[in-house]
Amino acid sequence: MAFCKEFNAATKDRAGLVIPVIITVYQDKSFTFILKSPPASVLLKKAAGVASGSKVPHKEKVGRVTHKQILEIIKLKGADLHANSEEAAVRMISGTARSMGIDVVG
Amino acid sequence: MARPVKPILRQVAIVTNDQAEDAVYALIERVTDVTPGIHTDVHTGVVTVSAFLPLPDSDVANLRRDLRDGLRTVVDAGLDPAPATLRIRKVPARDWAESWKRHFKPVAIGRQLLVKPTWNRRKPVVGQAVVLLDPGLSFGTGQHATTRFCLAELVRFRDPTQPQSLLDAGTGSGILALGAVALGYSPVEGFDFDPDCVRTAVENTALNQMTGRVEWSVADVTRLPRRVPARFDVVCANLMHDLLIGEADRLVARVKPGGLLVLAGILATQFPAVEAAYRALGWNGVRTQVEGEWRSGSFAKS
Repeated sequence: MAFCKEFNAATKDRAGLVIPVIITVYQDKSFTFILKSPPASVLLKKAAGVASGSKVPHKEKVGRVTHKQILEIIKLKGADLHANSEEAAVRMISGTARSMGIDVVG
Repeated sequence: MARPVKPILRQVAIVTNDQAEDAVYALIERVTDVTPGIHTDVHTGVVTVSAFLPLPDSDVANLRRDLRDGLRTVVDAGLDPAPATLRIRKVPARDWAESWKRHFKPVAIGRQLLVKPTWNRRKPVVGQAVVLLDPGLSFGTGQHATTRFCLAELVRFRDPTQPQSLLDAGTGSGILALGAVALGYSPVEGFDFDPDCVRTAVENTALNQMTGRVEWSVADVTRLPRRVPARFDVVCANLMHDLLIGEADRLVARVKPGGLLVLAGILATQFPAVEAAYRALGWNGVRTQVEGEWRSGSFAKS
C-alpha cells in the first residue's frame, strides 16, 4: 500500500499516461522505485491527437507529428531512450511513428 | 449444431531489442488491442514485449500473420526489430481469482492457537483458540517467520491464572492483537501508522467476533510520547530494525515491570545492532529464534 501511495504522489501530474516503473524490494520490506518515461507510442499518439495507430500503417495514415514534436518526445524520454546520438534517437522515434501510420513532417 | 468456440488465454510475445521496443510495443497493442508489458533482461539486454489475451484456436494463425506483417512494417519504417522472435503460447487454465489461496495454509502455534483463512476447513484441536484471517493488503497472515515468532511468544508468556495486557505496535492485519485476544489477553491495544492497515484490522476484528475487545488507533511509533505509564504486560513490535533501534525508548517505556518485549522484523545480520540498543537500556534477550534470513527476539528488563 505504501508503494501505491508514493507512486500516485510521484505521478499525480501525469494522470492518464502509462508510466512504467522499476521496483526494487529489499529483504527488510523497504523498497525503492524508479519511474520511467511513457512508451514512445503513447507519447506519439498524444502528440498526433489520435486514439490508436493505423491498422495498415503503410497504406492508411492516421495522423502526423512534426520534427519538433519528435525532439520533444526525445527530450521527455531522456535516458530511457537507448540511443547513442540525437540522430539515432530521431531515427528510432520517427521509425516508431511510421510503423504506427503516423507521418513525420517538418 | 456448432459447438461454441472456447477462447483460450494466450501469451503473445515478441523478442526484440531496445532500439525497436517502442515500435514492437505499438504493434502488439494495435494488433491485440491489449496494453503490452515490456521486460528487459538487464544481464543480456534482451527485450521481450508481451500481452495476454483470450483467443480461440481458429484465430491464432490470423494473429500470427498480422504480427509478422506488422514486423515487416517496423522494418520498412527503418527499424531493426531483431531477433523478432514471435511466440504465441497457451497459458495453463487456472481459476486465477482462487488459485492464490493455495499459498495460504493454516498456521498452528502448538496446541494453543490456530490462525487460518476463512476458506480453510481445518478444525482446531480441543482447547485450541482460532483466529480467522484472510490475507488482504496488510502485512501479517501468520505465514511469515517473524509473525510466527511473535505468536509463539504470546502463547509462551500467557498465564491463564493472571490478567495480562498487550500492545501490538505496527499491527498490519491485526493478527498479533487478535491472537492475543483469542489467548485471553485483556486489555489489548493495537496501532499502525497506515490508516488502511487499521481499517483491515478493524474488519478482521469483526470477522473474529472480537469487536470491542481491541482498542485500535492510527499512530506513528516515531511520534509516541516518551513518558507514559507502563501499562502492558507484553509489547509486540514486528517492525523494521531501524525503527526498533531508533524508537527503543518509546517501546520499552510501555512495558510493565516483569513484562515482555517481543521484537521482530529483523534480519539475522541486523539483530546484533538491535540487541545492543536494548541492552544499553537495560533490556536483555530472553529468547531468540532464527528462521531463514530472519532473527527475532524477546527481551526483559534486567
